[in-house]
Amino acid sequence: MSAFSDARTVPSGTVIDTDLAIIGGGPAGITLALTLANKPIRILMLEGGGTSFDDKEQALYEGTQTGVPYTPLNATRQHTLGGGTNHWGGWCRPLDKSDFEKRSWVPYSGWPFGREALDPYYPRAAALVEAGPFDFHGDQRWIDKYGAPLTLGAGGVYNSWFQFSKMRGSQLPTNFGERYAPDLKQISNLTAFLHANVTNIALAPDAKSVDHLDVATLAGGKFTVKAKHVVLATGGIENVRLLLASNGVMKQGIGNGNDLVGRFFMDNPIPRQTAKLVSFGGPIAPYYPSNQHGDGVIFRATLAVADEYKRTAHVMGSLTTVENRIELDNFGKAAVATTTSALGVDSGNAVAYELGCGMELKPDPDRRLTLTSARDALGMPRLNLHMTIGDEDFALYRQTMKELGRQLLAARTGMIHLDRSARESWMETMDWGNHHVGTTRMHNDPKLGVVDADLKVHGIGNLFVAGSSTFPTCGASNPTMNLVAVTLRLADHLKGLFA
Amino acid sequence: MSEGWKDGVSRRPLLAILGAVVGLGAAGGAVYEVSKLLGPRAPGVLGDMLAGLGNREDAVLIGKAVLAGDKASSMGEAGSLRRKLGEKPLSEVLVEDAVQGRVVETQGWVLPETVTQLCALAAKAA
Repeated sequence: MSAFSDARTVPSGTVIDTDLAIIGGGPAGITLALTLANKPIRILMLEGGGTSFDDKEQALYEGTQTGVPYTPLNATRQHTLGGGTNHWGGWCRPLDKSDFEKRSWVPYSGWPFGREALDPYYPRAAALVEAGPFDFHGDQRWIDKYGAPLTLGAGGVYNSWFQFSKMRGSQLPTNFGERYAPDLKQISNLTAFLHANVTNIALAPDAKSVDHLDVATLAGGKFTVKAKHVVLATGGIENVRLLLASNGVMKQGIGNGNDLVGRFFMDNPIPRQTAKLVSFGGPIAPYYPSNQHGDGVIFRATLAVADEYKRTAHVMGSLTTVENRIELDNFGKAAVATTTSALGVDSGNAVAYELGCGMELKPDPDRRLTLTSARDALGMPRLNLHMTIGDEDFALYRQTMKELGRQLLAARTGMIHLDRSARESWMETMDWGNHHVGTTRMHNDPKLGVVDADLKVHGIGNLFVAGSSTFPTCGASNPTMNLVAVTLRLADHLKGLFA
Repeated sequence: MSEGWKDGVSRRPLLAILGAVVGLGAAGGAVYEVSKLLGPRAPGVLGDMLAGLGNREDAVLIGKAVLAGDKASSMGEAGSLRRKLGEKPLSEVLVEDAVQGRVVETQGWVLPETVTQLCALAAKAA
């Protein structure tokens, strides 16, 4: 085909047959379509938005919220081709090995597979998000060019790296919708509909398979899609709405026999000004406070938590970033002068920086999305998000920062000030990653997961879920490249089904 | 239990240090006021111990925060502190503190335990 199809032009009552229906044209949906291109299957992609922002389509995402403040539901995501990549920051880093493990101190943790299951897919995922080569260990060439990283004593925090999706001048990082639209249009076995909102996943009467999809447009049209297999890829919030609202056969919603759909919502809290880092030896390498370019790669250093420290200290993942330089108050200057004097270190060049971070939340079944009685313009029930963050989440990150301070002292290279203690203080500067994780969690046991290790909804033979909503735990790494890797794994599974 | 009871118990180790400081002065033939003993011109082991902290006013500022933060429970016994500092340079003691996880938070600053102990002594002596 040579163009996207406009669902608003499809006559009401039309029935479209296909082999694979992909609901959603975000990074997961587009990755699937690209990966299954030119295979002997007919693919239909149904994207609810268009190629540009539309107020009325975006308004379909409105909802209500309770609990701690969070980004409004119509602002934390975008109802446009490309989904979350319309407004992401381009931060890329693979999940850590420990993120996949069953962690005794993290209830509900443990993926059905380990990091090694994704390793074959990360290079391709990095290419799709247009990060550099899949190397997150710090290229010696970067160090040669910009200087050595911070020297830390042995311990729980280590220097790690982000890579960034390519930025073209002032343009935002890779927007899957814009970047891959030409490629999608060239895929002979793909039909991509825009402005096509799936309003119901209709199950067969035995509730063991999807019979068809009901599709509606804001122009009033309604049509039907019948597919051998269906992949739901509308993001960690909308996936929930569609599963719960599709309650014609299973009254509690599809995949929700154990009341799991919508629970365990996770995001990465990004509290600002969490701590101060003093570097005794002067300014630290520029790849800490800002992105740097080298050999076609955009990168930035971060202070990550070692897997072994997570296991022994029972902390959660976190990625600490160095932000702007600051001046210390008199007490801070006294603390630095006294400590450096006692350590026998020259403090003449010492400089201080604010730190920020992205944290990993513990899974919480009460942090959840539920349907409300309010309806959107297509008659779909709207969602309420009940957001929580525990005091322990803050305390565990604080413990990690204290460990960083200990390591700096042990190396005689710096010291740390912990800026925040009380919950109220943390919340003053709280921001969120707008990463929507965990709401259709993956587990081999249907009592503990909505989808299995192949991302198939438990009990439904031909319905799969793609995206970070399937992650049982979120880690501290940003989800986009990781969800693309998981989707590539799903694509391989689907190829097997259609072989 | 009252807060005062808790304060009384937690400050005991610090009082032990101060008692040792005064006792040291008495053994030297004169009962110096602690402030004189630890002043800029004060001779002896304790004076040398505090000299490593650099500017005394800075150390006093930190020490007052240590005491106000009720970190007295982290105070070592003066004799062991003196022995520790007699065995190796202060800088090595501090690195060992950090390596061994003996760090103390004072007004948000993560400091080697020995620094906080010495600063507390400086504050008491001021």
